[in-house]
Amino acid sequence: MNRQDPKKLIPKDQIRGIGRLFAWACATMCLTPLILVFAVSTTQVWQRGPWAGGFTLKYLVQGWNTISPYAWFSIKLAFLVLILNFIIGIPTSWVLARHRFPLRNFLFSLTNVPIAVPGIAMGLALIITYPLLRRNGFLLVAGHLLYTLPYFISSLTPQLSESSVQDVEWVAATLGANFPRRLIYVIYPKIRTSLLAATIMVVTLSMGEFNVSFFLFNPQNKPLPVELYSAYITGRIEVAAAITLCFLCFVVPAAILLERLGGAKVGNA
Amino acid sequence: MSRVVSPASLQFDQISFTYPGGKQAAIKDVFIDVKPGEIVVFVGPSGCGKSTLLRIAAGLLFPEKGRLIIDGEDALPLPPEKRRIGWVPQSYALFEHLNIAENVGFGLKMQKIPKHQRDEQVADMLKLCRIQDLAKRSVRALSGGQRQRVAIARALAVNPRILMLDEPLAALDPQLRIAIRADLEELLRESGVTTLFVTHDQSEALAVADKVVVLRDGQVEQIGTPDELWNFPANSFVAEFLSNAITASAMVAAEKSVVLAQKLACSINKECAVGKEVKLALRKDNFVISEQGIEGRIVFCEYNGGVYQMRVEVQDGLIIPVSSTRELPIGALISVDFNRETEISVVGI
Repeated sequence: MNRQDPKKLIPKDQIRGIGRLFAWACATMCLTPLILVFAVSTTQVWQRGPWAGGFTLKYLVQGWNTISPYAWFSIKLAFLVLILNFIIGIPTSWVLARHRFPLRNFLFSLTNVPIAVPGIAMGLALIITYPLLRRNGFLLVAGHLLYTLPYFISSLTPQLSESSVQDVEWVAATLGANFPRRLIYVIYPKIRTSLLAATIMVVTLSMGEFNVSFFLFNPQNKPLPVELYSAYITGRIEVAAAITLCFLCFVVPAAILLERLGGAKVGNA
Repeated sequence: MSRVVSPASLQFDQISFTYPGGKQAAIKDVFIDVKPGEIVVFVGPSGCGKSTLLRIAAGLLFPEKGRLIIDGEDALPLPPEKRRIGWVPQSYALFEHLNIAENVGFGLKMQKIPKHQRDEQVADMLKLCRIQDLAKRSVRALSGGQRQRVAIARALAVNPRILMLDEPLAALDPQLRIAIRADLEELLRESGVTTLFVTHDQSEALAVADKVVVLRDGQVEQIGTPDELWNFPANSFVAEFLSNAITASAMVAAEKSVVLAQKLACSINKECAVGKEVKLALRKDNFVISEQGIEGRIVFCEYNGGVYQMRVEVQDGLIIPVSSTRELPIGALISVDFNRETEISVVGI
């Protein structure tokens, strides 16, 4: 067995140490606001200091009561957008991944354009172009779809293009599986992780989306982030913090799951 | 163990194919006739169209021209799932979410064979491919050779009319490749299925095939038995590709004889008019190191497992290939003679 000179290990350890310190600094920077939000939302009167007047959950209850109708609306909206992503995104990804045709690369670039366009601009463009569609909520769904679809397609297309996926599909075809059976028995198991990651991404993005929603919502159909904004500018800081905490309870678990799936995908590769 | 199979004949009839967006045809007017039960090996350099031909036959790519005749019927209108052609890609493409028995039984399940019958057929196939002990294992835990056997068992389980193997040994390390090659050939002969086998390794092609198809740039250069191709290559490309021959020109001195480097009389494998210039494929087995020969300088020497492959430059700059069991330094002078037990192949007149 080769033994390394202990002196040579020192620079590596130093680099590792600096890296660890940097990671902790970043984590602290991200976690401090969360702790602060928790402290504000559970303090009777925040102006007097943390937990001045004692610990309370009343703002969290009040916050939840304020946002729950909007939270359910946002969840419903996110799932509707997800279904539309499935209906439009899966065939589009399939065509982009499996077929070579003129302007294919241009079309692929086009599907990514909404990522580069600021949400405000997209919302504004939609409301100027289709003002009549705002009232029935169609525009809000369209805006969310436009915003999330590129991410969905970007998650699926590379995996569907992989030769390993094409090979298993072709093998299944030569073994007698027709297209729907190939899709269920062979392609789906192969792309399951990417599909799940794309699903969580769409739901998370839609639930947290503010810029597009701000221009396209109507009073009957108000998504959660818009209500959050209203609470910030009109309500008490303790209630706003409580609402934020409730919102994070929706989004953070999904984000963690997304990260774990990303890790699993890398591990499987 | 023998299996009841009905090997099919196959004919590529003037098939042409261009990949979408491609500027050049990947396959140009290819005609190949495969008899039932034959093992036909497609060989050629990378990008010559070997794998494309297999995919066309399997129905995975659709040619723009020509006909594909399987057992006397035009198979082009049939989708891949109806052609009954087993295809094993280079990657083996095993279904990683299924265990080995499930992989082998996949095709039978797709054909809605009842479970008890399916289990029996899977067991038979695992036995044929000598992987019966691995039935419940995950495919992730298999070695390269075992993966190959599972892929072949899976393709054979549906009793295909034709089996297509796309570089089945390419993923294996060289030591294992030679051992598995013999094993694979035995398995294919035992199953009796018509087989198309793609490789870019000429020794593999010559060892396994009943018939070899040499391809270049999407066109057939020559079709024949390994012996025919070795001894009667159609052109310098076939000779260079299959036997690493060196091409040279010489004047015909007698009906079946030429003189190389003005001194070395050699037999050739075709009768040619005296005085005519012919193109020859010089193989290393055509020459021996001998005091009676002509003198030359070693310009290349490479160890090749017990034998040194050398190239010797003789008079007029002619390069002669020869092999030796002992190492000789580059630049050394040696005498090379024609091996009178052989004939030099004529590859052009």
